[in-house]
Amino acid sequence: MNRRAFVFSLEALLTLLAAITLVLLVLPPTRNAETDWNSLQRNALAQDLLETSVKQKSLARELYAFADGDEDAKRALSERWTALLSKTGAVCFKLEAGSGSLETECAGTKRFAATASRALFDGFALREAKLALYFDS
Amino acid sequence: MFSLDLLLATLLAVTAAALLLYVFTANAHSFTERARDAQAQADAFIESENALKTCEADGGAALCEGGVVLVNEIKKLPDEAYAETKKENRKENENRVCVTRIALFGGKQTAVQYCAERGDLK
Repeated sequence: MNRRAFVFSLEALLTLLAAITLVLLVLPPTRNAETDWNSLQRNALAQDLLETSVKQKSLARELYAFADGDEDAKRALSERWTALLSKTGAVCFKLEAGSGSLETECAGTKRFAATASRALFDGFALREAKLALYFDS
Repeated sequence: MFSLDLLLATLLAVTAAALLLYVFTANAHSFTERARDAQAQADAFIESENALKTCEADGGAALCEGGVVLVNEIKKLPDEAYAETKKENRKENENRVCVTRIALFGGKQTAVQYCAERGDLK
């Protein structure tokens, strides 16, 4: 092989490598598509839970009572939401509203948190409800 | 000679790159599209009167508590069957996209799962 042909081949190879590198750099991060989708879904779940709670009068009353520190409301919320969330893949949750605070026992490791918040107004006071749902993957 | 080599290599690289880009973006696009379609269908279904009617037709809204929505129908499943369904859904292939939402049925907060198959995504 003469020297000239070697240089040409090397040149062509370098061009090829440069082009491939360029393309790999601009490729969209496709592997994260499913992860992003899961994260979106889980955040939607947290939003759903608070939204349905403030939308329905009897559920909203329970939430107001929880925010006032009512122990019965806290127990009822804990039992109902734990049962409900077990069907969604969440391992535990944390809810804070007014003087009420509730953190359930985790059935797994907290690896992902989806959060949501809503303003609560019972006609007398305005408070904020903050919810965090935890997932183990 | 030198220019021809360079031209051929560049053409080859560009073709390969375009092919790669097409394959990657087509996959990502189809997943995102299907996910978005399933989300839209689930939202529309859950928020529609039909969901509640289907629930009621199934023996009363209370039956929908903890129910699973499977492609336009709500089924009350015992816990073990629900677990099986969840297990199946974990093996989601590219033809199936599942969306879990919490909605009000008969005044109760209910976890519903809407699964859309490729053929159902219109």
